Amino acid sequence: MRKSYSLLELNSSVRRGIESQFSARYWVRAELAEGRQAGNGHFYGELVERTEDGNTTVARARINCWATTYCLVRQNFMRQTGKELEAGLKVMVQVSVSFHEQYGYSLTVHDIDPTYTLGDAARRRQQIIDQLQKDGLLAANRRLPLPKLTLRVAVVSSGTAAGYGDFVNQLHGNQQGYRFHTRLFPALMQGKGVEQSIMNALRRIEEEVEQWDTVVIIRGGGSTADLSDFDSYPLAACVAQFPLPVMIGIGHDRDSTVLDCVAHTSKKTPTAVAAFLISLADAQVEHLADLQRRMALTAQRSLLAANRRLTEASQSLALSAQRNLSAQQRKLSDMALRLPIACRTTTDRYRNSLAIIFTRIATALRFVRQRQTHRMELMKARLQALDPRLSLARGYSITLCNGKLVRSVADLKPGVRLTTIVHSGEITSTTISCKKN
Amino acid sequence: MQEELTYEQAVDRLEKITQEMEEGRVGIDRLAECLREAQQLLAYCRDKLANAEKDCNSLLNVEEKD
Repeated sequence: MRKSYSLLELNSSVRRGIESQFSARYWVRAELAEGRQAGNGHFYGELVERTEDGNTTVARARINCWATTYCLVRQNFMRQTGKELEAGLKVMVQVSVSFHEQYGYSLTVHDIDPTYTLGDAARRRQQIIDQLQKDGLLAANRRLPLPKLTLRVAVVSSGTAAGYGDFVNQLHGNQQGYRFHTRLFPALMQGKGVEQSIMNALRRIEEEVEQWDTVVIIRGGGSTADLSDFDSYPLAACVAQFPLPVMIGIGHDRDSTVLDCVAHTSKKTPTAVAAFLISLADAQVEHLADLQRRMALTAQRSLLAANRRLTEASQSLALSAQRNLSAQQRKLSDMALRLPIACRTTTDRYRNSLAIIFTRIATALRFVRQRQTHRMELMKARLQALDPRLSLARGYSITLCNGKLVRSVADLKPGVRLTTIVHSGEITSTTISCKKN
Repeated sequence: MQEELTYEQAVDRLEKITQEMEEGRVGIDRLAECLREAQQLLAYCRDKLANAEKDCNSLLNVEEKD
């Protein structure tokens, strides 16, 4: 007869074996594949282990956590991670192994180590950051220069979130009276769909990008808030490549998200972002005041220098005017002196010339008179020498025929009457013959 | 006629007349005429100079008071 057991007997035997072999509590690393809290407060779920690529499940176990334990464990887990125990989380749980004849193999959870889950989230976050770095996106938004004035603020948040109200109140209630212009682009800030919702809001802002100076992504919350939704590559890439500087204030004080790493400016809370925006305006005002001070100083210096130059110019002007006037005065005085002298010189010169001319004329007259006298004398002598009476006295005579002087035999004929004048008187005669020599 | 001359023109003319006289280039016929013109120019220039001096002094005094 073959030995056989009832299923219960076998299962009871297996249970006893397991309970004796695995009586301790064990820390187990696994992924929470599913989990839910039942109406009675107990938590039921399933742990799995997958291959590295995540495609194949290589181990699986049902888990349960009794209501009293679960209440404490959940509270601690949420306080530290900000998350609910939900599917997809990597967890480290302290379990005891149990086997129930009716329900089979299961693990009873006694504790959960939240730091393991945090570490896993950090690893995932690092992977995303590494990828962003590789794609050249990590510092892309940070490289955008902040506009000189960041007064037009597009706000991505949930309108009902306390953080949004705080932000708007602080910004618009600034004591300096800066006029910020804000508009809410509503988006889910927690739960499923955060990534897509924020990206949609960013797209709406991008459509009117020229109307805004900066984008602010904010939400209220605290240490219990779940930040894992912000550790998303597509959302981080979208923020990194956004054409405006993006500022983050998603209300956490534990550690940063991927979004904090890619944003232009990251602050812990919405009010800190508001304070930062106000400080930017303060800096701008201070910058303008500084410019004004420098301008005033420069203007003052220029005025002083110009004044100095004018004083110098005025002094040299007076001096030069006086010099000029004096020079002209001297010149006129000089000419007033030169003029009568020049005038006297001129008259003297002419007077001298006249005297010289007078002397020359007198000399010339004297000379002329002498020459004429001499000439007269000569003429007289010559005239005297030519007097015919002298020839008549020397024995010569003059013969006239009919009153005409006889110069040639040819002028006469025999028988004509002649008158011959001699020194002592006249002789009248008649020609007998004419004979030529 | 002299009213139309500037100070520089008047001084230049005066200089020219004096030089011409000094260099003996002025004939007796023109001598009295030149001398008369020179005296008029001299008076004209002195007058202008005195006015300029007066104006300058008054302007400089105003500036000093400012």
